[in-house]
Amino acid sequence: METTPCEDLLEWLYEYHMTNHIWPRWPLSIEQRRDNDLTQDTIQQCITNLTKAELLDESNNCLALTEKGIDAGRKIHQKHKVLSCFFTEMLGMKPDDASSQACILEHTASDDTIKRLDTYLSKNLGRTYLSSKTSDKKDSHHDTPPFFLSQGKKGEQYEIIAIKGCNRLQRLTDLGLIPGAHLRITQQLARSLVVTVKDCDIAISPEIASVILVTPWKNNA
Amino acid sequence: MEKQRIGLLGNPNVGKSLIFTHLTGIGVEVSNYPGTTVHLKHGLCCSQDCPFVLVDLPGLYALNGSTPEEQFIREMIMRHELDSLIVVLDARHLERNLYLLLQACEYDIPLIIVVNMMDYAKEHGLELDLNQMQEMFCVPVIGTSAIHGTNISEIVPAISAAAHPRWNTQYDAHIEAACRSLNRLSQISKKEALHLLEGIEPWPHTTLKSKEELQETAKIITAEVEQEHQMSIQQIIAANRHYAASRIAKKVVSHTPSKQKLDLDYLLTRGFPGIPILLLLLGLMLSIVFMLGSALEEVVVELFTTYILDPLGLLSLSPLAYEVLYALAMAVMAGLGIAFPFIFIFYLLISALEDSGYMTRAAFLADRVMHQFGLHGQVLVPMILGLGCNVPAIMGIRQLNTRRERFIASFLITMVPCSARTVIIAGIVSTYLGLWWAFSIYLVVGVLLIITGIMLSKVTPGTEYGMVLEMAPLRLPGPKQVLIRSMIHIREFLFVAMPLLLVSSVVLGLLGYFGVLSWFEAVMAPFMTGVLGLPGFASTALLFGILRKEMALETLIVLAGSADLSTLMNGIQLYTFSIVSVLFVPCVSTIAVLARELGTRHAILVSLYTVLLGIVVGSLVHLIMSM
Ligand SMILES: Nc1nc2c(ncn2[C@@H]2O[C@H](COP(=O)(O)OP(=O)(O)OP(=O)(O)O)[C@@H](O)[C@H]2O)c(=O)[nH]1
Ligand SMILES: [Mg+2]
Repeated sequence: METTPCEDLLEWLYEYHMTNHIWPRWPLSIEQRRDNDLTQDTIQQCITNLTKAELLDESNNCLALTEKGIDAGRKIHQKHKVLSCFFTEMLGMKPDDASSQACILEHTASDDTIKRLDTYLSKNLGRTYLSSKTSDKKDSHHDTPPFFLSQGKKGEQYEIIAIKGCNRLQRLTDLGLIPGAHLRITQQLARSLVVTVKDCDIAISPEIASVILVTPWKNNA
Repeated sequence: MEKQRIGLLGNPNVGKSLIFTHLTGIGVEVSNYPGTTVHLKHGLCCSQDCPFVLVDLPGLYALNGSTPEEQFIREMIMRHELDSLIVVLDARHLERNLYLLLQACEYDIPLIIVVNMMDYAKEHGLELDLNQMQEMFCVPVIGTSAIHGTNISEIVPAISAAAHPRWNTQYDAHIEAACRSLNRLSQISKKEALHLLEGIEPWPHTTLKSKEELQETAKIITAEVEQEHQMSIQQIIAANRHYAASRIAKKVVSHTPSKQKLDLDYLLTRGFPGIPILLLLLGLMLSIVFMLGSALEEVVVELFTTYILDPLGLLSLSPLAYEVLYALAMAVMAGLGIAFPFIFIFYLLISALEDSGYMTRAAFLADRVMHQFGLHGQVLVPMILGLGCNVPAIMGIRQLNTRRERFIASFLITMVPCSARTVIIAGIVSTYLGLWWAFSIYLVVGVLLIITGIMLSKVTPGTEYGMVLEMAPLRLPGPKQVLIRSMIHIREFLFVAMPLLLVSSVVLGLLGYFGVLSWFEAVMAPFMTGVLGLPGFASTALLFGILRKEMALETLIVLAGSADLSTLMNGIQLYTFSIVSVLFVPCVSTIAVLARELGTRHAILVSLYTVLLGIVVGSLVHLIMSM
């Protein structure tokens, strides 16, 4: 988690007020200042910015958060509290814990593909989710760049790499069309498709097929 | 003591309604396409000592979604409105079905598992180890075959053993950590934490303030996890569940490859011969209705005339009594003799078509054409159902995802000639003018449908979603299923439509006797004759057609006092009358269901549009044909 000096200052002001029940006086004395990394200049800059954003009120040499500022400070404070709890929990889990294998997406794409894909997607598609679970296994079948299912051929098998705008297409998720899943195009008429996934036949319209990003997949088993 | 309420939960088309029928003895719609059941159905079911209420729920693919059905059923479960669940799984697609079961396991509700379609699985060389499954979940697991009634009797005794499944889905490390952090920060259970992460409304017992706080906390963690995985948290959780499901399925199902089946499915869904077959099937269905229906009609009318109508004329009755009795007799003849044969045959055929699983193939074939109307193939299923009756068809459009789709579909479905309108076409046009004239009406309606569709897709705001439709299994329609299903509709005709017809024809007879009818007809006559070229009494028939569509024909017969309409109107008039009554105003039940599903304003809009369409097309036909 990265934070800006401004956020830090905001959070510190919030915490200071909550523990001491008084607002600090400006300029902040050394003992008041938790963070010695920040130079007086940076702090000065932040205070100007925060005041401009109406989060901070500086009067009579007293630094007080506005209503809006208190809310923003509380949010940042809360976020840090939650995230540090989350990271502690993450650290507490043994890496070989069973749950680390609980993912279907273990080797969805190699590092390289991810990078290529990421630039491609951010250029062409806007917000897209793709799996970044990497593995050391170099999968040869990821050599071809991914394409949309609508460009797939009848009878071929594919692996889903990503689904654009996934939240709108909940039904796809429910039917098992998720990144990492394998499917086969069993029928093609005009640009509508019937795909077989988990042994079920599902008919999909062209506009749906053109949000599913796939790569060829060979069933080695 | 309150009776226990037990819900039948499962994917669409797994046989929930058939099991419901077996257990309660209540006939509900059972059909081979996803989304047959749209409303909750309650039924009393007797176990040895304490009776309980069984609830047939609409089919769901998941419990965590935002569709109205999913939300509704989820809330029902969370508010403990159901005491336990019977989760019905499809043995053929166990892995996909397990996804829903795993979600159900995360609710605080005892359940039992029924694995249905065992016969079908066996046929396809699938072996299921249900004991293994019972050990995994620690709840009763019963393998059934609802279509043959196998093992259905074991369900009721097992319900008392329903338990909280002892199953824990393993989630990704991030998700597990997220759940534990939520637990540490806000003291909520893992199930509740998962809910929060999935973005579902928190459980009802949380207060409003803590609800917001919880959601905020969850949002912070979600953002972090999504950043890490580069996919949405819903997708991660879904992927974990799918993975767990596939692992269970691998343990439970063993596959012995069966002999290669003939790939009829493949042929049916190809452009050729699929599309010709689709058109041929529809054409054939209508021809059979027209021909077989008229043959039956002739027999019935003749019997009626010799044995009831003629003797009635010989009795010496007072004019009033005669008028009423005569109207009644005519109504019985029109209803049972003319409408009934057509409706009966029609429903038999359409039920057979549904049961074969062909509907979803038709939907796929039509996808491209439907895109021209801003719709997609899925809409075809309710449209074909609309050929039977518009009312369930309009209920079926709930399945559509956007308001725009529902809006356009409701217009189009209302215009689809339902079985009652087929009665008019068959009873008038096909009988007096010939088969091809009858088909020409379908052609006209078809063209109007296309024009309306294209027009609406241009003016209706909103977005499209596209079809994601599971294909129903293809099979030979079972005669028993078909008969039962058509009986449900026939019963409605006999017990709802017939009494209505009898009452209104007596009213009609009385109105005729006291001269009110002739007054009404005289008022309407200039319009009817001037614009549509129809005799004045046709206006009464059209008016009664609003109650039930086939009553336009029946009323005409009652008014004419004879089953032979050609003595009253010439060919052009008969044709104009039919096309106007086919297009003009949906029946009251359709208007009511439109109002319920899409709002009163919408229902009025659709009705006005069809009235206008009927009058415009009718006058055009009149103009062109009399030139
Ligand atoms: N072969 C076979 N077919 C079955 C069995 N049980 C039900 N069916 C058929 O499966 C189809 C679907 O049955 P329904 O009871 O309508 O399914 P549902 O779960 O209520 O479906 P929705 O209402 O759409 O959610 C029907 O055509 C049944 O005849 C079975 O055990 N074996
Ligand atoms: Mg059902």
